[in-house]
Amino acid sequence: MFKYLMVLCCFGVYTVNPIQALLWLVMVFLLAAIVLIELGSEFLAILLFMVYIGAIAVLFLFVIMLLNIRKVELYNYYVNYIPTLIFISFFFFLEIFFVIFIKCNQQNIIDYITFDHLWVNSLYYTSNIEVIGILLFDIYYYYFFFLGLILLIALLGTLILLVNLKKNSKKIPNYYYKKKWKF
Amino acid sequence: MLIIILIPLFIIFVIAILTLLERRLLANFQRRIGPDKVGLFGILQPIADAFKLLFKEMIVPGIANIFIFLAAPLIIFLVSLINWSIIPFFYGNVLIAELNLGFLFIFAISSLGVYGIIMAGWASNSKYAFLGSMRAAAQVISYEVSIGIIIMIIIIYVGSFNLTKIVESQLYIWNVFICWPCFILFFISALAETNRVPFDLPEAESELVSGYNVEYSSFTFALFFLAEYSNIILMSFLIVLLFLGGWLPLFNLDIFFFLSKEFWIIFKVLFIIYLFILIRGTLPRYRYDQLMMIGWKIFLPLSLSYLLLYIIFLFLFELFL
Repeated sequence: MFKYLMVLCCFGVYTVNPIQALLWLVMVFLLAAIVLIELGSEFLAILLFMVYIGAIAVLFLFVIMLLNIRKVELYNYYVNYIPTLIFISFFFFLEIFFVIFIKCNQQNIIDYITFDHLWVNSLYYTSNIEVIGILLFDIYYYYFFFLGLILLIALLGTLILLVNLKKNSKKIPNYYYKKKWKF
Repeated sequence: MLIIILIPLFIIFVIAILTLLERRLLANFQRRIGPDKVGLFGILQPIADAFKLLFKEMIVPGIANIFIFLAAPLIIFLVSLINWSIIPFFYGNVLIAELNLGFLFIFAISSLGVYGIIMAGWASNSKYAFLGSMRAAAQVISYEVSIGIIIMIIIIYVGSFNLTKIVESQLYIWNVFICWPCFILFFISALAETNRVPFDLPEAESELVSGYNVEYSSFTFALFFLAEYSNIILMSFLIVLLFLGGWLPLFNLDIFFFLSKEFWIIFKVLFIIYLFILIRGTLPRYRYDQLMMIGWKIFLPLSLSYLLLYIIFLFLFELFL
């Protein structure tokens, strides 16, 4: 039920008004969280709530409201980004392919959980967070480090961009900037 | 089923009493009489206010986006009520649901409240409302960060997200005595999160008429009002559960146990609400850049460094004890 609603809401993102499009996107996130709860992973659902709805989408809304975006510009953007869209979605598809057809070794996880407990107890009492913790920090810790490195690169990239901007801003005849750079 | 209907009604009743209490206390602080005409000692004043609001005409601005305009107060009110579903009230067993991820749930749901604010400001298509909503959203987002980190400190210490477990872990000593800087940081952040007085910039009367709810009237305004006060009571409940030991008495002594658990929790919550009102009666308003500076440059580094210190302490305790 919620899956189909989610797919329907995805089409709402293509509305002309950017703010309404974002609100539709938030609706999609909400329904995705509900689907995750239905699947039994409430921790991931709450993370989706906190990270995507609570932080990222709010910041997007904030920025879009403060910018004065014209509707015509948005249409042009769609056409320009289609090649990159295909490129990214190809990799996404590959990822999903790997997950579905190659799969993570589930026996590994069960061995880890049942290592020093009675397995009957652990079947009933290992919560969502514990399983995710075991997966991230014990089994796939290497990939976890790798993901952290990728994030660090992204962070450093934005910082480098900002530093370059500041050097360029020297040319702007701004009293305050000049004073700061001399100091 | 009955509880699900009764608890919102109970909360609305408490909010009605709280508004009267706030007006009376403010009047006392400022040497006025306050509302005392309706009913005995003004007890019926909140009911009169509610009737006034309900029977007014609801005006929707012509240039407003009607659907979002009407959805915004509903979202804010619903979000403020949903949070109550996992708060342990009196004995620690009167609940709608006992979640293992209790605090994460509260945190996730309260982050939805920002949408109501932003939508209200944007949909009413007026400059004052828009500026007010921008201010409110920025403030709520930036103080949510420090609140989250302070909650993380407590959760690392307790080892559970569950609210009842957090209270039960304070049987021998309240968390205030263990980490009082956290308590102070959390209290000030709670003031900012609920848009209360030293940080009530979203509804600064002298600059913006009334913030993001300028264009709202009658019932929709009443919803905003109820949500705001419900959030205040919720925040004071959270402070009591996190730091002041919930329904547990001071220390684990037999002398304190002759007072019932209800007395303790109600007394503590009333005390925190009294502090909220006292601060409203005494402090002037901050400037907006000062507010942002406190949030990002003082509260965030302080709480982060406290978290680090706490983790190091716990690690050392595990090594040597």
